[in-house]
Amino acid sequence: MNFVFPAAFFLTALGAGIVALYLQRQRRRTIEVSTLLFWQRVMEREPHRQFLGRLRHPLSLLVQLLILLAVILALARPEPGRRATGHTMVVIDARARMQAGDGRVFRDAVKAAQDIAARASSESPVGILAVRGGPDLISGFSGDSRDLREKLSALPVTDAAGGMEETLALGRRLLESQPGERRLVVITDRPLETDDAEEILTGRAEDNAAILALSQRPVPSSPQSAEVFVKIGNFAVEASDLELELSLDGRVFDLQKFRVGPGEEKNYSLVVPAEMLRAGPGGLQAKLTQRDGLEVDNSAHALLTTGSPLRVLLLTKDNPFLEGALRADPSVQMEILEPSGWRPEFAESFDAVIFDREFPAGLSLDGGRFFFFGRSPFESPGESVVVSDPEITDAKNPLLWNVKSIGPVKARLLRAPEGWRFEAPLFGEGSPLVLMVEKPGGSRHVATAFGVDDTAFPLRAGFPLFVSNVVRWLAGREHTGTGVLEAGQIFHPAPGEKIALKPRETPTVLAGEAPLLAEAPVRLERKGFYETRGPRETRWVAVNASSGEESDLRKSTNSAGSFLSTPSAGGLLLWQGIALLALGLLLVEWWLHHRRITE
Amino acid sequence: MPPADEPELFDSAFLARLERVRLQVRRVFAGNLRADRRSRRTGSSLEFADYRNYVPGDDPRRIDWNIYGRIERLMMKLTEEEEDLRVSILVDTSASMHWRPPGADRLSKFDYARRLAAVLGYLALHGMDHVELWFFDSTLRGESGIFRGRPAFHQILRFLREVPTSSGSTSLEESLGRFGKRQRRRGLAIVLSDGLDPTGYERGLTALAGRHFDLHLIQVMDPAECKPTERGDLLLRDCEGGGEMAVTAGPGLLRAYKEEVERFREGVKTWCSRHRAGYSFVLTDTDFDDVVLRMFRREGLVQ
Repeated sequence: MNFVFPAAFFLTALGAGIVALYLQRQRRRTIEVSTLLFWQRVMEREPHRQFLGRLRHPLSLLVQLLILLAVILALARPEPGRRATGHTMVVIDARARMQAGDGRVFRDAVKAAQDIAARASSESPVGILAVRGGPDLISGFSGDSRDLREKLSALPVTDAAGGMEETLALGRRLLESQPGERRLVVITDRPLETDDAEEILTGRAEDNAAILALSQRPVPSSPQSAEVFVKIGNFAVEASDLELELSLDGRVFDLQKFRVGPGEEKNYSLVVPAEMLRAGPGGLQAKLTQRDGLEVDNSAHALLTTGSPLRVLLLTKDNPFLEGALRADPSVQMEILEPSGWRPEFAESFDAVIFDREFPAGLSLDGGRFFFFGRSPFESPGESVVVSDPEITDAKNPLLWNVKSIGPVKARLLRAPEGWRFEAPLFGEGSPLVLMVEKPGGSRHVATAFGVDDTAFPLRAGFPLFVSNVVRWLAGREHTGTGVLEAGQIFHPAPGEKIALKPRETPTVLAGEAPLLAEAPVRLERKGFYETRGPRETRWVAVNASSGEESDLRKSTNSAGSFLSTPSAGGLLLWQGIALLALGLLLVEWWLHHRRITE
Repeated sequence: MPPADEPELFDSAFLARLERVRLQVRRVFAGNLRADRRSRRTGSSLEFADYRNYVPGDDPRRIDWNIYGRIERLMMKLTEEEEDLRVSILVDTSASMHWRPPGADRLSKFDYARRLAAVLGYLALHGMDHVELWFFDSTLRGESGIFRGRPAFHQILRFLREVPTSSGSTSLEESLGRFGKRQRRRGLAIVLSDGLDPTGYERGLTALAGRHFDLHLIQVMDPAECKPTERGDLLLRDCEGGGEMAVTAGPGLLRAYKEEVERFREGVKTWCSRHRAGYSFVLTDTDFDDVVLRMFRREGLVQ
């Protein structure tokens, strides 16, 4: 048995005072009797009654001493079990599935953590780690229980998924550096596969349905239209009728019903025509309409590619391949000019400028968005090399979206300029074949180590896609894979770009609203649309909470109502029960007193 | 003594019931005058006692001629002589007998005892016995003189009304011992007392029983003495000046007190039984008719 406030036992001295009061001579009622004979005989026969008589009301004295004892015990806050004398690291799960039961699971977890924090002291400091997509240190080891509890009260749950191992590993490392006894306590909703941690489980198995994926991509044959893909899953013990509602910029445009068996998934795709995308910002929301165990996974967001045509200036003497590729993209509005007709002020008027095989002398790279095809200012002296099998170093690079290979090329040597951030998604013979350079302030350039005469790539089907990808990246409208991030992922803003810290339900900015923005990388923990502001334009990032592991609540369980740190009976902590006992004894004493004065 | 001579307490119906009641004694005593009591002497009553030979001078009317016809001898038929009885009624007038619980509207033990004394006196007069009454506390206080004949009932009532000043305390040994020494003629001695003598009741009663009185003790007590109900912190003061005592009366102590009273009562009863004395225990809230006509009859004081 441990006591949080053992100093309360100094109050036991009051017990002597109570006994002294009971021994005090008091004014007695005088009553005349016919004889004292019988009273004297009783006292002779039972001498103990003389002492009890001096104590006046022994039962009242006993009750009052018990009341005092109960009050002292309640103040001392007894806690059964051994007293932790070492360091305790509490890992609290704040992932999306802890929002189950309208947040009850997470509230119970916070309460359990607070109970542990309440026992923190300088001899037994407690640290707190949260699992929110990744490890998050809420508090280092501290004996300040009040501060720990306040931090736990302010701890928000997230929509993030992800594993716990990374956080557990961090917790173990933090504990290893501490002397003495060490405890690792994990508060989550389902059992762990680890032996070195005490578990407090606050979950409860529930039926749940979820949107497991929502993505979009431009239709290859008509990039201004979007193809939308939705995956839903049923994590219930029985088949469910699920209703999927799709809305664009807040207006419902599709409603589908599915009969999904237990543990099954259903896929659904549709094309959103370009005509629908011209009106608004393109915020797509998919939603399951029924209520279930976890609300957060019943909706998902995506952004459809929309907006005004890309204005492109092509400076070439004659390049039918480039012209053809640009004309193939309906979103491109192209103008062609002789290289001699270049004026520096054109750079501000176009989303992208393409220099075919030559570029003006003294061209300033700052402030422009240029595609150097064939010759570029980034060439370094040296002989051209033939690259028979160019190597794609970053398949997810936006320039290579849907581009599988370019074939053999005769390439010049390229070198990134100093002070610029660069990427080289395509390499050959130790030299970049495609170079992307970027500078804070909005300057972006792409250069190829080969021209139209150096490769058969223009004859390939991927060439128009490559040109389109380059133009979109220069204009800041590149295809970002599915176009959707998962909650808990870290967003790295581009140079000069800022991102809002709070998401919105629709990708629209209300007039007069000034959101908090961050330039540093940010972990996007809640789903929704995040506004990003670049030097030249505003973009939106969609974030979803779509994870089968998070949505499957069938595995959730609890500690059968008894947290390791909170022994309680009938929902009451021990000290609260003792305080109630004191109140009950007070009522008994009041009743005894009432009986004495009324009889 | 207002209660004793109030007409409603001895109304005609009650007196009519007393007509059929007589005092009963266990022993046979010698009297002075002819009355209704059996005597050790032979006399002129109808009750057969014995036969003896005729001697000159005997009353020839008492010769049994039937025996003479059978055996031709003159035999005298002897019958019992019926004589009167000396009935002494001793009433305790100590302070404890005057005690009454606060707020109680029933008779005090003394008033109740006076009533009983009046009734017993009436029964004795009705049986043509000699009656004398005594008050006592720490010693003998008042003597009524000897009454005989029904008209003397009013004198009894008058005596009972004039209670002498009491010293307060009780001494059965002194009072009853002095009574025993003064009384030459034995008879029925009825003691009406609560028996609350701090020095004990045994010596006093022995003084009577040892002098061959037919003793009957009527112990009169108040219900509040037997089962007190006062609770809390009390300072008990003895009404006979026996001092004070502080107690905290709770259920346990009151229970022990009741057991002690019961033990005391059983002790008195046992003592009386062992000394062939009669014993009656009367609570002052008991119906008077019940006491006289049922309890006393059951306990052999009246028949």
